[in-house]
Amino acid sequence: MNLKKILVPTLTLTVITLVVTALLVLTNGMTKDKIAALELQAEEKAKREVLAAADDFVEQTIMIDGQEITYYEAGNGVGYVFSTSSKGYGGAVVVMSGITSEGEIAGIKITSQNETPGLGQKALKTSFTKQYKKIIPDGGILVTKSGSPADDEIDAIAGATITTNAVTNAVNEAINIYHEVTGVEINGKETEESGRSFHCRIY
Amino acid sequence: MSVTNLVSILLAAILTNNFILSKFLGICPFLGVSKKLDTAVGMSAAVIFVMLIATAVTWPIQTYLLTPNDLDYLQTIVFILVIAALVQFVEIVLKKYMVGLYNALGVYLPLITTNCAVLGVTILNIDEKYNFIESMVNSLGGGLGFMLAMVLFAGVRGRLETSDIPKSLQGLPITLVSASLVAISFLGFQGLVDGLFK
Amino acid sequence: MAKKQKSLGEVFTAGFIKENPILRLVLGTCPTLAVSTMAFNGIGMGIAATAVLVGSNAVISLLRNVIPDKVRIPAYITIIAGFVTIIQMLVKAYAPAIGEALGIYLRLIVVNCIILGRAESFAGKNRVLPSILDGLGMGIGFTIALLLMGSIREILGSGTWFGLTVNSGSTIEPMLIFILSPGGFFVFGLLIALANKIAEGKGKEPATLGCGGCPMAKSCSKAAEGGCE
Repeated sequence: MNLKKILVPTLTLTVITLVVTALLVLTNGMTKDKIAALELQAEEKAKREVLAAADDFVEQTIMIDGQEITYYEAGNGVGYVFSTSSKGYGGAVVVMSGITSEGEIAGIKITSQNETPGLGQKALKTSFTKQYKKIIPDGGILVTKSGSPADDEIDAIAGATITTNAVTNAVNEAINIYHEVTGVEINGKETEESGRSFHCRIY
Repeated sequence: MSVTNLVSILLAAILTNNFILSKFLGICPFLGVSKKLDTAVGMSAAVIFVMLIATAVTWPIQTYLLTPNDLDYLQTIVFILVIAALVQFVEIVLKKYMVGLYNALGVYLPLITTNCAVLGVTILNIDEKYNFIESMVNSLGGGLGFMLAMVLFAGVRGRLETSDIPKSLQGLPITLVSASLVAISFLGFQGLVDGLFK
Repeated sequence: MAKKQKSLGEVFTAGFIKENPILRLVLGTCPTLAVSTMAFNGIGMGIAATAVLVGSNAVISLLRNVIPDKVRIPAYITIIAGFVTIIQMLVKAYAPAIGEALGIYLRLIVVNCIILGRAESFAGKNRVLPSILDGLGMGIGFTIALLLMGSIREILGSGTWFGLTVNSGSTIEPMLIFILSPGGFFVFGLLIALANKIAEGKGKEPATLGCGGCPMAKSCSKAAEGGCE
């Protein structure tokens, strides 16, 4: 019977799909909270890492160019923490930057990335990120490949310039927001596009 | 969303982030089908075709169905089933109504259904948070890049036919080594996209 | 089906070397090239893929008499996709570092030819226990190949192995190109050449990318004509 030939396969497939979907919903229910808790935990840990002198963090918002930006202010007034992102090699690179009230970058941490393992992912190493711990230079942070960075430069990762630029652009954007928040003028070229204001040379 | 932005997405997908040579998506058809120029072109055309329709269907599903309802975890299964069903449907339609097109690329359709290139591009569009137009441009670029790599490689493999190759390297190994050399040449495009629009 | 009775031991170990999915059957090439930049990532991917392989082989074998032939492939894909998503969620919850490292390639396991290929050529026709062993064996073979490639690329490309510095660059500097895409193709090609040489010594055929292991062979009209070559 022709109808049976179409009905049985379709029905079987539908049942299988429903069962699989049910299992997925179940697993999602089980793991969803754990995943969310893990993400929150990681975020809190990151905030403390980039601004160790802070006691606790208060969430604040500011309007920049018509967009609402969220940032964190340290309860004891030592500084601020910003989460910014820039396009890397494999997608967005999200960086958390801690900037003190004196205008010094206390630390940065890459909280999300999809860069090449063994190459762009070298940016996760402390030896790279600690380069950003400096007083904010007037023209923002620049990237050099010379191996001996000046006061306003950081040394790029060999072969991973795109990742380096992404991290630097994200930090520069954090600096921009910092200046908006504290009301201090920036002495340097600036454009509307975040991060691009501080020119990063590629190859 | 400016034209410059779209052009840079297009160029990036074709050259700097070439789907085959940089992202390793679609290796099986690349290695298996690139021997003759006409099969290479046919396969590439089919890939471009499927990538475009797949994106056109999966992007709205993700944006208007999955994400608003917190069903992001169903992305993999929904996408792959949608793509498989879509391609099946298209194949039937082509076979019946557009025989010429079917003969040119229809035969490759089952092969690309379960190929990482197509599923890969639909997932990438979501991951990169592209809007609809950007996603379509990215998929077009991905497909064109695929075609570029395939066609170039067909030429390379044509030359290999007449070369004297050691026994163990014959066939797949030398193909892969040649692919690595073509990949090196594409590395040269690295600074192109960003540098072009500075 | 000619030689039916392969012992369970043979089924299990076939995937290690003789029928290694990457070096002999040439399946699953995409993740192999992408993920083998570091030995650690290779193991992560290998374990995830093995988990999916064992699960999907088991379920598909259980349901092999229930799934109608017409909807075979979509049914397999649904089951495999289900397992991949479950593994993805478990990894995110309990091993997030691995999830970040594997990125998109974890989700692409769903179209990994190894999984669909084994479902089509083995689990769909054999009982549950052999299917589970086949899945496990193929998964282990996959992991071995990934580990091999990953180690070579990591040692030559960044001078480390599993993150521990092996070559500090004092004599020969690590060659970055091995971690980049050309390196992947290159090392893969040479490994297959090596495998071919060993196979030749044992009187076996060299590895080809034919329609043999490809899961879509039955639906592909080109296969009937002898492939796309």
